[in-house]
Parts: sequence; structure tokens; C-alpha cells
Amino acid sequence: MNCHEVVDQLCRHEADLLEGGLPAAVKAHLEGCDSCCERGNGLRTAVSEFRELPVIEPDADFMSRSWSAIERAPVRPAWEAKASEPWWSRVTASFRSFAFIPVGAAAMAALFFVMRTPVPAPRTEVEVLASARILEKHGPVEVKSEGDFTTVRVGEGGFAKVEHKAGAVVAIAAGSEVEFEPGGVTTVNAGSARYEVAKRAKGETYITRTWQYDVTVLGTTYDVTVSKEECQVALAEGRIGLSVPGSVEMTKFLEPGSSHQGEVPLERETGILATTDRVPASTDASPVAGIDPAAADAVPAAVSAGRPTPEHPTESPVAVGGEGQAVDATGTGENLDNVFK
Amino acid sequence: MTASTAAPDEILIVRKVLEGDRHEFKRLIERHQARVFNLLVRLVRDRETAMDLGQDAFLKAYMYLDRYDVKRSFANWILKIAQNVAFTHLKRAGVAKERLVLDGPDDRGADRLADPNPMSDPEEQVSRKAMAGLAHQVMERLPEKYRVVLTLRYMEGLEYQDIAEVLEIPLGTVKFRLFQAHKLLEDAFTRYGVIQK
Repeated sequence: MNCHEVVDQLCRHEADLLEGGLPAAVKAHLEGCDSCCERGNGLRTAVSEFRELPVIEPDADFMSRSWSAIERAPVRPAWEAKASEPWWSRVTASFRSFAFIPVGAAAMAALFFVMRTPVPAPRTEVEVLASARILEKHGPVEVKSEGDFTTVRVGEGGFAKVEHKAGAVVAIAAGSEVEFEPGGVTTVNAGSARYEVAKRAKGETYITRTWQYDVTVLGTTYDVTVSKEECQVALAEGRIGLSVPGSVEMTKFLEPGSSHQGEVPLERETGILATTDRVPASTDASPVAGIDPAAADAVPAAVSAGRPTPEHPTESPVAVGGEGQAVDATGTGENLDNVFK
Repeated sequence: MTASTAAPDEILIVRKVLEGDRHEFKRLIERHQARVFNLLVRLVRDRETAMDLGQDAFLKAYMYLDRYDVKRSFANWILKIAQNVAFTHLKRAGVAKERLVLDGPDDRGADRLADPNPMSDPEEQVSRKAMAGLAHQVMERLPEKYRVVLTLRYMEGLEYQDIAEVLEIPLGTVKFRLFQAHKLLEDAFTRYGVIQK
């Protein structure tokens, strides 16, 4: 075991990531290596300083300001109106529901017979939303608007095509959720979406956020697939850059026909951060580039198995290829390009 | 390992608010304001912005209180909202990522820290202040994704599973980011000369 590996183990140890303490090989190395001992002690001091950083308290009026923001909110939450209904209106509502049981049963029966006849999925009219416009939708599609923000959730068997007012058309596959913001920012919370972004003015960008990285474009077509394990982007046309979440500095760039999975490098150039999380710049990164295998193994079974959760209705990664190239995260080898046709 | 669940009294408070007793929500603000503000100020690095974003976070929590799952911890839920608010702000503001390069000692932030041991000798006090200042400086210059895991881990005292729930990332990614954050610390403190190679 060399000094570099020992320091890595010491970092894991300080982060409480080693079950059962330091491995015997590390201890043996430390006995004969003054430099590593010194670094281990220094790291411990550094971490303990870090642990003792004080919690920064808010100003005294934070509470009153937060409360007055709630009281002054121009729009009241939907649940508040329901809660403020007088008690008798709830009673009469219950009575009405009892009174109409026979009528309801008859209606259900009629509906049952109607539903037995297969009917093609209706195409809805154009729907105007706060920051986006539904161009087309089939099957279960749920749209929620919160101020200028719009969230589109497509259930199993559904499909939606949305025009983002910031200058993009986004096709959203079944089992996916995409959030639209007023500026050129969207977030893929789960599933897959294909973006066709209009050519941008100089200095204007269009950003697609995922939990693992941000995709910034100038005018192109690309697919983004998000699962709890990792995110994938495949480029069909144009050029895109990837950055760590919350950063505007792009550290990896994709050419048409290429794709990227997993973490993105922290730095383009050499530097202190570049040594820790680098992926090859010239080739597509492997799905878990830069990820410590021990940490990757620790992903819980439910997550690895891709079981659905309330926040992520589907965890089965639907992968869509770029231009003329199938990219398949499911291992089936199937080209899923027709999802967005 | 499972994530924390909601405290029984908090479930009661949430229920009262949802039934129309709006003022009960003040108790939730009072209880969680410090952790929300601390996370925000660590992320956006500006008190006044953190104050504004904190209000946004509590307003969002109130507006969507009916979506809160009482089986989960309210603290985790509000921290998740705060984190989303902060990242959206950073994205909109186009905050450039700072490089973690330490040119030399900087006492910024050290003066605000109380001396943990007033009886220690003056030289040791100066050294401790410098170390605390350096830790503060390193924290401020870490990329957001590392800053947030370290804040949640060491200042909020969250377990890995709770951090995964707040950030909505896999447990493995939480561990990986904590490992990377410690490597960055080691690197930064080595450059400063605290750790001898």
C-alpha cells in the first residue's frame, strides 16, 4: 500500500466511512511512515476545526420577517381554502355524497360499459401555463404551476411535449418529471426528456439541471435521463457543456453522438480540485467515473433495484440515444429513440 | 440505516395548521429557523441573501404543507426546500465557482468565533484563531455540493441517510462526496502548512 492510498483511507476514516476502523495494512504502513503519520494527525486536526465551526444564527427579526412573508403572500395555498370551509358545508357535502350513492353507482356502471370499448387517446388542445405551454399530451399527464414555475409529470404510458417560453421544446417520456422556470432553466427530476433548444443570443444560455450535474447549451438537441443512481445526457446535435450542480463553470463538453454518465470533473484545468474527481477529457466517462467502488457498493438495495418512490415515480433508467447512436443504460441493447418521435 | 421520522408534536402542529390554525406555523419557524438560516448562509455566503432566501423557504413550506409526508422528518423536509431555494438562487445569480486556492493565512471569520478555551496561553489562542479562520475560509471556498454535505453532517448533525433524503441523492453519493470533501480539506490544510507532507 503506497502513501497515496493510505491518505485516501485516512480521509475515509475521518469521514466515518470505514466500518471497523483503519485496515491493518494502513496501520502497518503508518508504523513505518512518518510522513503519513504526520498527514493523518494534521487531517484529524483539520477535521476537528471543521466540526467546531459555529452555527451562524439569523438576525433577531428573521422569525417576524418570515411570518410576515407568509401573511403577505399574494396567493393563498389551496389547502387553506378547504380548511376554512364552515363545518356545516362539510356536513351537507357528506349528506350529498350519501344521497347520491344510487346515482353514483348507476353512473359507475355506465362508465364501466363505456370504458370497455377501446377509445384512442385524445389529443388535448394547447394549454397555457406560467412558464411553459403544453403542445401535445397523451395519457396521464399532471401539470402543476407554482408562481412562475411549472412542473409536468408524465405517468406510465403517457407522453407530453412542452414549449418552454425560454426557447426550447421538451419532449417528456413516460414516468418522467420536468420542472420549468421562467428563465432558461429546467430541472429533470426523474425519467427522460429530449430537449430541442433554439439558437441562443450571445451570452445567453439554456440550462438543464439534474441532481448530478447541470447541462448548459447554446442551441442543440439532447436527451437527459435521470435515475436515483446516476444521470445521463446524450447529445444529438450542437455542443453542450456540463458543470457540477450550482456552478456556471463547465468542465466537460460533449460532441454530437456522444454521451456522459455519472459525476463530472470539478476542474477543466489542473489544480487542487482536479486531482480528486477527474474523468478522461477525451473519451466518454464510464458510468461511475471517479466514484469510489466502496462508496458505490453502499447504494441501498431499494435504490439499486430502481424501485419507485413518491419523489421519483419511476426509477427504471430510460436511456435515449443521440443522433444515430443508441445509448442504453438498461443493458437491453434496445434503441429507445422512438420514445420521442 | 433509516432516515429520521417526524417528531410526534410536529405532526400535531402540522395537522393544526392544515385544519386552519395558521399561527401554529410560527412554532415550526421558531424551531427550525436556526438550521435553515445556517445552511443558507453557508451556501450563499451572504447574511442578507440568506435572510431573504430563508423567508422564501418557509413561505414555500407553508404553501405546500399539504404535500409534507408526516412519516418523514420535518427538519429534513424544510432543509430540502432551503437547499433547493439556495441552489436556484445561485444558478440565477450566476455565481462563479471559486477555486480552492489558499495563498496564505487569512483571519476572515476568526474574529467572530469565541475562544473555546479562555485559559489557554495567548500564543495558543492566536494559533487556534488562525486555525478556526482557516477552517472558515476553506468552508467558504468549497464547491456547493461539498459545502452542503459538510454543513448537514457536522453542523446539523444529520446521519448519512438523512443527508441522502434532504439532497435527494443516493447514499453512496453522499459517502463519496464526504470522502471527496475530506480530501479537499486535507489538500487545503497541507497547502497552508498545517499538515506537513
